[in-house]
Amino acid sequence: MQKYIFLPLIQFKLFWKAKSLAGRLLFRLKRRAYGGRSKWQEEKAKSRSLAQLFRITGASVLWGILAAIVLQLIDSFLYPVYEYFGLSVADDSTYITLLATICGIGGVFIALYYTAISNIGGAIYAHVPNNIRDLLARERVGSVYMNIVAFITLLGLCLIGFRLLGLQRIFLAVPVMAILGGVCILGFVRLGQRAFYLFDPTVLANNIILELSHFVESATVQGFGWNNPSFQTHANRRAGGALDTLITLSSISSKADHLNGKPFAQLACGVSKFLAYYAKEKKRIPSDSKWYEAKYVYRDYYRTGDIEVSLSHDTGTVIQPTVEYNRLWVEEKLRPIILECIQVNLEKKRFQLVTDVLAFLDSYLSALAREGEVEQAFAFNSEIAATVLRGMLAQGEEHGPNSERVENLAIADCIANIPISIALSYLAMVSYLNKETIFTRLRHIQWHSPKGIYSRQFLAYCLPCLEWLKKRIRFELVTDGRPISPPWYQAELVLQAEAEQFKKNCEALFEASPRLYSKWLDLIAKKNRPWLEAAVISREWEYWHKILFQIEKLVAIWDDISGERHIDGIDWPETNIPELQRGISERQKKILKVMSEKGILSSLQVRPEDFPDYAGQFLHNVGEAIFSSMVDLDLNTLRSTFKPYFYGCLLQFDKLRPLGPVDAWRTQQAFKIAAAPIIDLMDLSGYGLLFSEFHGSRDLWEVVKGVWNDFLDAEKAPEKRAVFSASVGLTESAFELPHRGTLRTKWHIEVNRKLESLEREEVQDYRNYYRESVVIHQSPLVRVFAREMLGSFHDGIDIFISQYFYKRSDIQRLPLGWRRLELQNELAKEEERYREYMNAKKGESQ
Amino acid sequence: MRVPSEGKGRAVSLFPSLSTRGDINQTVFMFIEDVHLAVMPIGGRTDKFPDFSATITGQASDRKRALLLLASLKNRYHDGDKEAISDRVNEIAEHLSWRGRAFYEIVQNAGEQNGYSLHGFTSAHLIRVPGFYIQLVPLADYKYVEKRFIVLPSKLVWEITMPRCLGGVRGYRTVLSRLKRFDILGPKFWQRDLEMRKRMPNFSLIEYVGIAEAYQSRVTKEWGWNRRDYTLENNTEYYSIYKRITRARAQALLRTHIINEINKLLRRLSIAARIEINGLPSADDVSKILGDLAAGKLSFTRALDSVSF
Repeated sequence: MQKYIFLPLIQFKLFWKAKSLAGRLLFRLKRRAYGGRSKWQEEKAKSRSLAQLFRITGASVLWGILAAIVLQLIDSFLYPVYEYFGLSVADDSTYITLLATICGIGGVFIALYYTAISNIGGAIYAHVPNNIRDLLARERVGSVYMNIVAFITLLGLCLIGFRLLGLQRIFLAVPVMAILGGVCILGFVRLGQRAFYLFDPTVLANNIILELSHFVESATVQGFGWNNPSFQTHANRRAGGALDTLITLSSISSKADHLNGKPFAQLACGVSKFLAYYAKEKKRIPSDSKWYEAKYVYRDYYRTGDIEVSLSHDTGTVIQPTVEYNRLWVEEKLRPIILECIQVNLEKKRFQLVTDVLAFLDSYLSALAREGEVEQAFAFNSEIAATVLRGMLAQGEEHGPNSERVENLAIADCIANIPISIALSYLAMVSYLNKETIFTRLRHIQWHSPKGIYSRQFLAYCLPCLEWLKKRIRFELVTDGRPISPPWYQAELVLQAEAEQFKKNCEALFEASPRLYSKWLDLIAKKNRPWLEAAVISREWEYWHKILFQIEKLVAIWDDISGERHIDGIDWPETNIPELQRGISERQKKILKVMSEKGILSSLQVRPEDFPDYAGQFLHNVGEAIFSSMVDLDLNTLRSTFKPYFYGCLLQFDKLRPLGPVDAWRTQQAFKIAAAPIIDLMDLSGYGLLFSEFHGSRDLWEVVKGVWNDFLDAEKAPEKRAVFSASVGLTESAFELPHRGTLRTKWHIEVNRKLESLEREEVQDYRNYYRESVVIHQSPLVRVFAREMLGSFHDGIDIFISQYFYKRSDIQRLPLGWRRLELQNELAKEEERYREYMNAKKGESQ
Repeated sequence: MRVPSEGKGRAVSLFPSLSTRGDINQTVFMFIEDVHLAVMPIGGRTDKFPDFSATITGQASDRKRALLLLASLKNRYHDGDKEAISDRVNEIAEHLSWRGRAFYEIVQNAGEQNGYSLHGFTSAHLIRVPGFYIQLVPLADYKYVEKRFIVLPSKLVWEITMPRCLGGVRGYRTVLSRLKRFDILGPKFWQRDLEMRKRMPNFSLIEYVGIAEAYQSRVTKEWGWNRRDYTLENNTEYYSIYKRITRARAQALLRTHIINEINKLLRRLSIAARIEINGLPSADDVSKILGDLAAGKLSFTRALDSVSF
């Protein structure tokens, strides 16, 4: 319509000129209006910023003013005190000058601090992501210091303002401000020193770890809003941010040469410590907390409850998914940092740093085991070991079999020691596990309290079961006014969860660990690193020793928690510890075989002083195992170990024997020590014959005799053959307990104990003076050893010399000695005596 | 006692206009069904209780009269006492379960001096005044009945109510009305919002359903009603079994009550016969089973077998 008003005028030029002029004017007006509006908006935004600034600083300013008012009020009451002590402030100018000076110092410090931070930021943090740069701004000590300085400065200004407004001078302000000024100055000195550390960004990791710990605590039942999903999500998000920062920091550290040494190792140690703390805290975090990362899982339509299906059908929607939580989300983010640190430092050959990190990891994995997460601990140990061995074995080209670095040995020892720490920590924890404890804990749970189940020291793996119970028992409380499910039912469900975990942990202890050790040994053996191999074998032997020592405890715990069940049809885990125990026995035999292999024993002979004597340890262990195999007639073990043991003893003698003249007293002593393995060998060989006859197994003695025959037939050098006679002669020459004599006595006692099991008959002496017992056995040797009440006076050496060694015609004969003569006499008498006894018995029966 | 010998009752058994079967609350319907389901073994058959017996004692003629009386409830005659008694008790329980009380008009059989029948009638629009019951006929049903009201002398009416130990009539009706309070599929406003794809931020269906289920479970505590929820979503296995045994206890109480009331009626009608039930667990037996279960002396299977027909 408007367009058509001017329609008659369009034919006049003036109209168009006027229109043009009007247009220009309008444009100018609009331009001004736009400018004015923009300016207004800008001013509005600025005032908003100003208001925001006031809001941010409002609280601090109020505190400053409040402190000044408090000083002013207190001061008025202190005038009599000032008068009494004759205190005064000279005049206004001095008072104002003091305050202004302190304010000035504060202002300068603030400026200096931020200048320093800017410089550090420019130099070090210019090329790092924002989250790392942000760390510098959030640096805790600096932030606290700045807040204090700002407060002191503001307080000074307030006090000046009060005076200028005509209020009385505050006498108290003088000492207070002087002290605060001093704090300000001294603090700045410390902060200045600390500023140098900020050149290393990993120092700031402590702040992140502290933050993470804070978020973990807020997710536990101790935290504010722990039960509120919004607070849980908040904690999860904030922690996720902190974890990302930590990962970025570790990534930067691993790439920079000046950071990937000690700083990175400290970061990894800090992470390990945090993980250990987190492992302990997890039992106080609800297992369905949104602290854990959630994953949505859709259910089968026909497995879903009626209500949900009805709802889905009536509304034409899908069934809502259930939520599953990843309870290892923190670990999955942090563990790679530690692995990367180990890898980088191994590449750079910073072995001490690797050992330091491994020590912290040992603590972390022990903490995991104490929380009953043995399987998880072994899994992570496996990852660590894979990283470490990859790194160490990659350096294999530089090392011959006999030129291993002690640091590598220490690292291999650390790695192989971790399973022991895990096992011992778990066994220590599990020793408190019993039915009664579970009952007591359950009895004290206040089911109506949301925190009830988390405050009774149940471990994290019990939480799903307890939470399941809690929901239902609270339902019972609402509907029936009291818990209906009785304590024994509750206990049985919890015990089932305990049994499940116990089974998993036992499988990890008995099955996962040998797999780990085998894998490591295979890897090391392929690279021909005997010292590393020996370190791992030694630790594995210790591992099984410790497990076997406590196996009865495990059996008792299993019997306690899994016995006397009430609930029908419950899916109760089954575990067979004796079966697992047999597995250990097999594994031990395998280790013995590896231990006794000549290759290893001989290659370990040249031993640096700072290396453990694995060869000696293995030889001793194999000797003990050979003795056990004789007692239990385990021919397989004997066959696989006796020959290597034989030569191992000779090698050991060779290594230990003195090279000086034999008549010198000290040399004689040294020779006696060197002869000990030979004496052990002869003692064992003698027992071989005894047990061969005891078991009626000729094969046993054949194994032993075969090895001796092979050696003596092949070795013609008389001085080498004379070693055996000389060893016995020298050892028995003095009236003293020979070296390793105590250990051989243990064998002797064991032999006597074994022979006690033989059948005996009480018979009257032919003169009818006394009764004596006759051992019923075909072998006179066995009968002589078994006859005496307190065991035989003779030992394996006597048997070996008199029954084998002395009978070989090609051996240089030394006097038999009264002990062997006595044994021969006893054997002859015993044969005659037994014959008489048997004849008498036959006569009686006829 | 003298009763009209018409052979046909006067009371109106049902007012069609008051029928609520079509739009009854689903939860209430399920509860009612479960209250009367198998109060006695259906058809008198049970494998779990081989010693179960239900007999009518008395002279042959009285026994026959009693049997005929029971048969009149469903116009079906059984030769065996066990089957007749079991099914009739179940039917009376069904009648009771709808409103917490049941009314039967006592009618003398045509041509029989001492033969009686029982005709069930609705308790809706029924007023009790001294000596009489008055059925007020709704206007909508006038065309069928052609009367404004029907007067029944009290002596011609057999009234049976829910036993006091199970809350009595008032208690039972309170249970029924409370069960209607929550729609288990979510509140109406939420269902409407869901159709409109609106979401109320502070509403949690899981919380709502949880509260509703707990409420219903609490209301029906004495009846041990499990809301036909056999999942372990809200219950432990133990609690689920506890509920089933509590239900068996409630059924035992109801069963005993109905039998006692029938025996009273027989006496009232001068029928010298008596119904006796043996071999089924009494309420005390069930209570003992509950005690043994709580003490862990009974397995779940044995406990359930002890109370299930």
